[in-house]
Amino acid sequence: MQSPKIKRLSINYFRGIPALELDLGGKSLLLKGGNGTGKSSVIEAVEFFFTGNISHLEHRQGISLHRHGPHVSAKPNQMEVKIAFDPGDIELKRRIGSRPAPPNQLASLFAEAGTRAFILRRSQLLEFVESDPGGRFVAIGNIMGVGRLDAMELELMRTRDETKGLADSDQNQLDDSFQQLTSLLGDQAQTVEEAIRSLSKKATSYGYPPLRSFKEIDKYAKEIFKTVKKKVELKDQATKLKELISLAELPALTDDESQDLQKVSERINSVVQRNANAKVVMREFLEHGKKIIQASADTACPFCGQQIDRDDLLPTIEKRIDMAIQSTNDASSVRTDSIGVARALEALRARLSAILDIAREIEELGEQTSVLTKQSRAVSEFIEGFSQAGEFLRTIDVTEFADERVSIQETLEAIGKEARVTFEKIGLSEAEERAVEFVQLLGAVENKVDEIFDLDEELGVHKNHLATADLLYKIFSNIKKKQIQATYNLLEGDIQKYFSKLHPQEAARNVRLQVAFSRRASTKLSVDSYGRSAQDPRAFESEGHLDSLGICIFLAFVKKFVENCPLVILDDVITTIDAGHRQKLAEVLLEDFADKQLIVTTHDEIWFDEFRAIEKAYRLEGDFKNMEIVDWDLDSGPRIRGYIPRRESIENKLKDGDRNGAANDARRYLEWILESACWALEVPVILRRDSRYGIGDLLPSVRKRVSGMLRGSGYEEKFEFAFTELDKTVVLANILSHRDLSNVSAEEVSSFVLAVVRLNEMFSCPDCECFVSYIRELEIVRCPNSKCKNPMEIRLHR
Amino acid sequence: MGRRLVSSELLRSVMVFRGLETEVLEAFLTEIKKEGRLKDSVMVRLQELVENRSITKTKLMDLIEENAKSQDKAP
Repeated sequence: MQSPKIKRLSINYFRGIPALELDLGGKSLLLKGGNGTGKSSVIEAVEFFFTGNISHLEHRQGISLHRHGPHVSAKPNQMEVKIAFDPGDIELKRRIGSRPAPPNQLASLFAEAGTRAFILRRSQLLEFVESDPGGRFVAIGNIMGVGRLDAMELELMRTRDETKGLADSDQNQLDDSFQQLTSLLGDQAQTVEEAIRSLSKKATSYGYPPLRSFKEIDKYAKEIFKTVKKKVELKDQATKLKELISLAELPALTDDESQDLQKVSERINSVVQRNANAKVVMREFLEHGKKIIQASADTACPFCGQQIDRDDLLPTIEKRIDMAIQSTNDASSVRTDSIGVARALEALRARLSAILDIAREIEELGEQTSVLTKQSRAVSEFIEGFSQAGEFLRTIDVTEFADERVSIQETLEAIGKEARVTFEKIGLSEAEERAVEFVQLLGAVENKVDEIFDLDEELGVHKNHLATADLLYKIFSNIKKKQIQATYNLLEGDIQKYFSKLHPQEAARNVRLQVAFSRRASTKLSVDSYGRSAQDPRAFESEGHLDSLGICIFLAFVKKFVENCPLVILDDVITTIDAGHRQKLAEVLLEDFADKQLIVTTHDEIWFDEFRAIEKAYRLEGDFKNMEIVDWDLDSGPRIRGYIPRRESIENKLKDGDRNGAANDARRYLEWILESACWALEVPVILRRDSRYGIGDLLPSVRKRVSGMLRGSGYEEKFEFAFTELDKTVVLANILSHRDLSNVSAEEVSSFVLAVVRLNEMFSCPDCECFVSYIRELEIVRCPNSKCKNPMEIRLHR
Repeated sequence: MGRRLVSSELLRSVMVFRGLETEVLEAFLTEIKKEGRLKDSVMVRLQELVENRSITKTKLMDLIEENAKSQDKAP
């Protein structure tokens, strides 16, 4: 089936175009125009038609499609782009707020074109080559359509991070608990077995029998407790007081925990602040959008013009923004680190609660109990605030809590002191006191061991979660990267092929795109250059080479991923590429993209002419509309006409009596020939500081080069004759002596034009009209067009 | 940050290039199944999440917890 192509493009009240109709008839378009004449508006109209937006107007503060899309004299609802497709002459239109409804046969075209991946602008070249690997991944990913895979990978990574944070925190707590057990026993206790041995050793030192297992610890403690002869309630009180003294001895938070709290809070506040700033900007953005929607009662998105569900749009954007902020690497690491701090705070709250449970039963501690109750409440409130801050919902101030911590420490010390006094009042013998102390130690060890068992179990669960989350993330990430790398590998051949066509016999080879497996979304670009392998092309290549590499990457990806969209648009992308390479780019486009409908714009007259010559050489001139924008003004927009050959155009001016205009056009024609000759024949010219070369600068150099180069070839005399004929013209004399051209006669202009045309013919292949080129390695001057049936070739004699 | 999000995810509907996306997702599910770490019922839920492109951290955490519980119950 014939792929659909653009038959007719109608643009109304769009950007700098009040009204324009381009009848392409399914042919490709080569469009020439100076800066500010509306070339890009034509491209933007095609972009708007397929995507509902204009990328130049997206995401720029104070600029919008609604305000800046329509022509300055028009209202947004007057802006319209219509495209008629062939076969079938199906005409569809797009306006702000109404999208085209393509029939089935155009659905795949619209789906692909809607991603905008078929348009290349100069600004995008930088994203392919000159951006960092992350930016490059995004730029290439946009063509490949990996955005949703990226979003899924991010969610899997966040899940892995969270489970890792929980498992790490469990492990840290477990280590701390063993450390505390070691401290309680005064001996190494890094395992439960070691703890039981240490406890038995301790029992022996107290004069009690060894303990065989933690299972019998209650029975064992009761036996020891029986040695205390006091009344039961006094014994219980003594034990509780001992426990209280022990609990109150511990610091409110350790110094390490306190420092972690300080650090994590600072990082949380930094993320929250950025979050808040983004929300302020976003709120303004949304409010502005709401007003537009309410005022226009439109169902189009005010940001992109797409049809939207109004009730769904704003909450969705807010949710997405929150998600973006939550998903930053910084937020991810803060989340993981804050789990440990939260647990330390929870442990403090639990300890204060345990102290209060005992202290409330002891009359002597009434005053401190009251103070500690308030302090415990303050700790709970702080924990609540910290928890919210951990979700980046608010900032957290640790200064106040630091003061609170000092006060709690003082209260604990007061409680410990009062508990010791009360304990002494009970009046235990030395042996009884040691028995109470040991029973209390048994209780503390038992609690710690229970805690260790609980933590160990929790760690097991979290490790299991982590293993699953890690597996999901790693498998997804690896498959995604491998598939993308496989795609890159597949395309490297095409990239290299295009690059080699553009730069034959040049240093850079083996263009490689590589997914950086150690990073989530990153693509490295390398070339072998000047004997060094796998170099970043930015290290050695010129700006023009980098741009042409970007074009090759774009073309390779478009070839693979934009199969159903017949369009390929290159909007003024050859700015930094020299004449010889531009010619080769035109060849690549006509050889490898002949099945596409190309839209190529340029401000460069030389490339325009070269492109046309190559169209002719490839016998494809019938597949192209070669057009030029001759004029533009605000009321009429661009004035576009079919291309008229230079000679014909100059002669038309002469016929109309415009001698001055004809002479100036002929002067520019000669400048173009001389500049082309300089590039094609490697003509040395004297360097000018301002890089502006006129006919007076170029003509002697070109003549000298041609004369020297062609000596003995049989062509020397023919060229010399052409130069001499040119010398004889009055117009050239006037140009060289910087005289006004307005006084020359029509005959003088005519003879100058004839001389210029003859000179051009000398440099052009008679068969295909391509400008000849010097091939140093073969010592020949030859038609560079590989498709030329009868290429001109001059063998040089040295 | 918001800039990229709005352009690439929210406002632009990426309905095409399903080839690469589908290949990755299918290979992912096949590989996970081959690993045998997920119980059948959990695998079905994961498949639903993947097919609906609705993977979120919260849903994944639920799924992982459910998988761990069903592992506990396993004889």
